Amino acid sequence: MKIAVYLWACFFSESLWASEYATQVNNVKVELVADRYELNADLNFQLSPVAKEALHRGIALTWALLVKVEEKGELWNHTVQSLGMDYQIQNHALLNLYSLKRLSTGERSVFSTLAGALNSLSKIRRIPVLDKQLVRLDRQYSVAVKVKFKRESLPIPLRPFSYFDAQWALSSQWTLWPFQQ
Amino acid sequence: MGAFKSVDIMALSTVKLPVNLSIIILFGLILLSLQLMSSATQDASELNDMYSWLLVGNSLGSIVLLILIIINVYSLARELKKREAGSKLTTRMISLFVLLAIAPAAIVFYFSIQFINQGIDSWFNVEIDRAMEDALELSEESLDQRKRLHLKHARMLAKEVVGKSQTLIALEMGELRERVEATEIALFSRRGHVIASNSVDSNDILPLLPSEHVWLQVRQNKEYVTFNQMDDDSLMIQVIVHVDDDEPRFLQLLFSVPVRIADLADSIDFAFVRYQEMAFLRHSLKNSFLLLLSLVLLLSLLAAIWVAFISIRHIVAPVKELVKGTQAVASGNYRKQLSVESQDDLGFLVESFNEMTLRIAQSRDETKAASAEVEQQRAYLETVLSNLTAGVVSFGAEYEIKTANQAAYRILHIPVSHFVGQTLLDIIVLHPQLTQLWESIQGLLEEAGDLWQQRFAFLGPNGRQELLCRGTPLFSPLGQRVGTIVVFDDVTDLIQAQKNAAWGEVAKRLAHEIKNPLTPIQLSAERLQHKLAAELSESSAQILQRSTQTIVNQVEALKSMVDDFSEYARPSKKQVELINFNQLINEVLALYILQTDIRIVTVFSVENVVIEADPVSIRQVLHNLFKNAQEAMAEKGQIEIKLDKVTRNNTEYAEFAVYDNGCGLNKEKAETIFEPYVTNKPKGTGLGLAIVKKIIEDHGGVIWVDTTYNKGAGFIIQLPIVLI
Repeated sequence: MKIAVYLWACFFSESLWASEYATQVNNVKVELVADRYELNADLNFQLSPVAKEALHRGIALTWALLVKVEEKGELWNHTVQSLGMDYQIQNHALLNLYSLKRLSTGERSVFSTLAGALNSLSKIRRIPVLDKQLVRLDRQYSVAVKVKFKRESLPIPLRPFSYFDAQWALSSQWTLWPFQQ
Repeated sequence: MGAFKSVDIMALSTVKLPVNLSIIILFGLILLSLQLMSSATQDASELNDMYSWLLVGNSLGSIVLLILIIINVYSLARELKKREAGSKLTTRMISLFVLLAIAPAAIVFYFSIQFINQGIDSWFNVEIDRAMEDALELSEESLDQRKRLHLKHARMLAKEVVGKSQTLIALEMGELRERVEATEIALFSRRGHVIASNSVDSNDILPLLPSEHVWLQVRQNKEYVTFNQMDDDSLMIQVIVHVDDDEPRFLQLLFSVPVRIADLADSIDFAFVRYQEMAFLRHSLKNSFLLLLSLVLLLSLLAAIWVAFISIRHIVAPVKELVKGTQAVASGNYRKQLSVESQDDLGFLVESFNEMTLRIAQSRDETKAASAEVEQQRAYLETVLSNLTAGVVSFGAEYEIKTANQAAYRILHIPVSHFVGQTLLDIIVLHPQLTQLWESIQGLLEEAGDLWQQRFAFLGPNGRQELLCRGTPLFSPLGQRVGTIVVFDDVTDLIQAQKNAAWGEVAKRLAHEIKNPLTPIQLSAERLQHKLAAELSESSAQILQRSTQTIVNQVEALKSMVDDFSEYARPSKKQVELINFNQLINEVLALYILQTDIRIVTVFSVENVVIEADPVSIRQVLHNLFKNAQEAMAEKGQIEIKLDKVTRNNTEYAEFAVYDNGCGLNKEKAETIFEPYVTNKPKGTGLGLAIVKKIIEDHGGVIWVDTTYNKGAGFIIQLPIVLI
């Protein structure tokens, strides 16, 4: 049983592939704006050569921004709010453009350089995470943020092998940040 | 029988259905899983997102099947180690099946991989690469020309609006846009605020607002030109140029790319991207096909092998039962019956096995019964033979002993039955005392072609014995000689009785005819002496005296001899009573102990032996024996007296023996010593031992000369014991 769990972890745990290409989550701040708390964060994407080549060859790369607001408990934390947003970067060879698309809303931006697209993606601004009414002042909250590279959005031939290739370990770890009430 | 078969068919269906059902379900699941995985590989499929999970699911299925197969192989290995019935057949069938399954699968796998690799490689070549790149370059060049043209237009308009007031510009915006065939025109302040705009679509009040990123580039480069994919997927060329005025302003123009050109560009872009993507995924694609094909093949093979295990075990089960059944029959269980679980060839085989064992059991029972009957008859015959007083020995064709009854042992004192399978000549080596007898019978067996009868005399352990033998040849139903049966009777006693009777009659007549004239002869002689003695001269008187005395003496001797004859002829068993034999022997011995220098040694192994006899006759027997021994040693030597108990034919006998160390008896004498007028003494009448033998035999005993004793003469008497 232990061996099976270990193998499962080997195949699917991204922590084992914590590589130099993992996205970093910095400066996460949650601010009360009007009646809701909004999240701002800076992300640092470091695409691996293989990921860059795949992008230039027309393969769309998709990340999910995962956010969880947790209420601190005595034994374990309780998740108050959980949300995710998918972003996709794609290269258009003919027009020599990079499009950045927010899949949940369809909002799209076009950039002439990859750096411009990644720069735009790395600045997460004013993402509403929680209503003010849901926050109790007598409790402590924290916000967990993770950027997950979605291997399942890659073309099928690439998917199985991406789990075993550190070049595709582009996700970040879960990072925990204080929630300023 | 019909009902029996219908029950069997029902049992068959209840046994077979779950196995078949499970196999069908298993293959159904495998096919479904593989079909789902195949569907998932299609980009448009809804299962596309589940591809990895299906891959994992199928891999887990393969692992589960592999574990099941390993368990089955382990179980089979154990069965092989224990040499269980059917294990070798199962191994052979499974090995054959696996070989037959793997060999074509491996060939198909190898060539499939070859075809896939070659197929994928054939998608890509230098010409297509170049064509794709040329097509892209052509499209880019075409679009760049448009970009450059529209940039030129924009620059021209920017020069025209230099120095013009905002109001004037706003009025001229429409005319400017139409002149360059732009879709939209807008003038922005330095801060990016809209000063004036005009659009071909009157509903568009607000012009396209550049993003911060665009403004950044405009401020850096003074101008900005790019393609823009609009919300309605139409392609626009966005041009922003700096209006060199006192107050810097920016003029933005949007030009729509003709639909045809946009479609062509889109098509080329799509094809190029697709081609690039495929080129990038070239190795991944090969590996992916390899993985998929391997998984499909592995899953199919494992499932087939597992099903082979189940099916072959199912097929071998009746064979296994048959082997066990055969082993049971081999170990003697002829009533073994197997359950018929199928109506196929194996079922027919099982039914035949059951019928065979049934018939074997019946035959066995019949043979047993026949054997028991034969055994019973043989036992009966053996009982009859063993209870015969005559000895019966049967010989085979090679003169070997086949059977011998108890009487043969009793008569010959040799356990003839122990020599079954051997010839009489073989017995000679162990029992040389009967050499003459065996050789004579062997000669008759070999030479006589028909019935024969002959008398044989030999010296047995109990003295001289006479046998009356009759030989009868045995023939098979085909008339072939298969052996001889020899029947013999011990006629010693019969002949002796005949002799005794004859001698008794002679003695009786002699006593009667001789004794009567003796008294007148004696009286007449005495009278002559008395009357003539005084009248004769002295010398004549003396002669008369000697003569008459001789006559008287001889008459007395004749009288004594006649008395002996009378005694011999007279029945000796007069007044029978219980007597203590030990005491009687001691009483008689007391008369001899002090008479001479002869030493008498007594060895009594038993005390107070009681026999039923006439004490006077037994005393006479003892006297005769002691006297004979005394006379044989000339008044010096040793007499040994023994008394023991022996058991013969389930009867206890007192064995009384007298041994002296006198002159002894030679062999011929020993054979006839008990006959009348046979004596070893110069003055004996030869009736002493004859009388002794007669008395002993009248008391149910036997007497014989101990021929094994060679220091003198030895006599052994056996008398039945009443109690001890």
